Amino acid sequence: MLQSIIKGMVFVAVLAMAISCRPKTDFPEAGGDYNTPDAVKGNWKLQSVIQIDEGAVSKNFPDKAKFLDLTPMFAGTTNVRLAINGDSSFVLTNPDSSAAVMLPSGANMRWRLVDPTNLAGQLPINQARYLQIYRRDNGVEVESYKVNFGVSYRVAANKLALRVSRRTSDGTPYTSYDYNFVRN
Amino acid sequence: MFKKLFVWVIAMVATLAVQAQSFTVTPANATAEDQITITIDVTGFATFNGVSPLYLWAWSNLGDAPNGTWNSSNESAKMTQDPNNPNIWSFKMIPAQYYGKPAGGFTFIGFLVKGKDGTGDIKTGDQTKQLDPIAFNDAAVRRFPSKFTEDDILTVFYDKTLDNNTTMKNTNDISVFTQVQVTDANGVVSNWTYTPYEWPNIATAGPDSKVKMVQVSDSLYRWTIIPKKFFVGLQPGETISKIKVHVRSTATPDFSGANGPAASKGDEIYSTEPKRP
Repeated sequence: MLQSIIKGMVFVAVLAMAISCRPKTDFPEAGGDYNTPDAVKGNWKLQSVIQIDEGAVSKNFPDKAKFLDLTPMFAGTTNVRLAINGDSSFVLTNPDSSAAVMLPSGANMRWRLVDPTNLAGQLPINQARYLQIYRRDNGVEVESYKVNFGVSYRVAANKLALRVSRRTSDGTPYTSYDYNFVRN
Repeated sequence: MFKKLFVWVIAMVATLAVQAQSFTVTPANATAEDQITITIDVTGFATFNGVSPLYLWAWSNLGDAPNGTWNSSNESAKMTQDPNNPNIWSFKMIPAQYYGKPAGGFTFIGFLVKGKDGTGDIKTGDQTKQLDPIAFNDAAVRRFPSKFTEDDILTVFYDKTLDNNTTMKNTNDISVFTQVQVTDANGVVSNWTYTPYEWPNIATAGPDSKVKMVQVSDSLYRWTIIPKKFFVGLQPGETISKIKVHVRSTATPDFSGANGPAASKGDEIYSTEPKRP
């Protein structure tokens, strides 16, 4: 009996040593693959537009003071399509079908994913990234807009949430619009 | 034996009394958006003998303030010495701004006072200040969002359940009287102008009137516009600086009439935010 207990203890000790000695596996940062170029590129259909009172969000007010679903208020919102292409073109189709659409649009619009490493230490990486939408005329960048991600998605989610914000002079957003797309 | 113990206890109490620091936080009730003043009287607190200036070291349920490091506090955390009493130090802050965190998330802040280099426990004990939640003051007429530019979507809600105006509560056909103040390229502000319908004309504007509120539910109405697009006639260089919205019964015939002021909610004046790139 005693011999069996000793054998069992030795087995457990050896097993523990084996586990502790195996090479360490470095798992990728949780959420690190959100908002990647592959998760952004593609053809998208606008599903909803939510207006956000950032001040009310900051104060933790009731939902009715924080959010307003503009989708049913502006007919034609779901007719809007977006193509974010691999050649860096950013093409919004039917932007005039809904006044709720305030995403940058027009000819020669392009996109790039900005991943500011200086912010990586302050924000989760998926929040630090943003899209820069810009117009290029004759090879010159003439307009530029910062578009954040309203919600962070992985490629497999087939969803894209873009956020346009009005900001105070110090950069604090006070009113935002979340554009929620599904892959078309 | 008992005598020695008694003497020891008395000595300890005396030591603690000498080392006591007196904190006050004003006002007693504050939210994270209110300015608070933390004051400490270090009279008799031997730990701070020869230590000047003093620094605040602060934390909260949402994380730490920009304190710096324990052996080198940030200058932004430096306290102000009372010119009339060098033992009294104070620090003013609006917690949401000082911590850089959303105001609504605060439940408390914690703090202590230290020398710039706190090594060797050059510090007071921990203190805690509970913060009040920020109250949402609901109203019968409410705008969304609270801040907007002339290019944003503005919605005005009218909620009968929050109204004590019985004349309005019994009305189902509701409109707004609206007009704007504009600022021209030279910074000159106009009088109220560009109203789509003058006050008496709203009653006869018809069912497709642009100033009619949409009924959302039994008691809730809304009116949604994009100011720059709604107020037609704006001249180049003019920007909308203020919008007047006056929720009223559509049928109200005359502002000064018997049914006028009673069947309306009065002027709401909203300022617009400047546009930024």
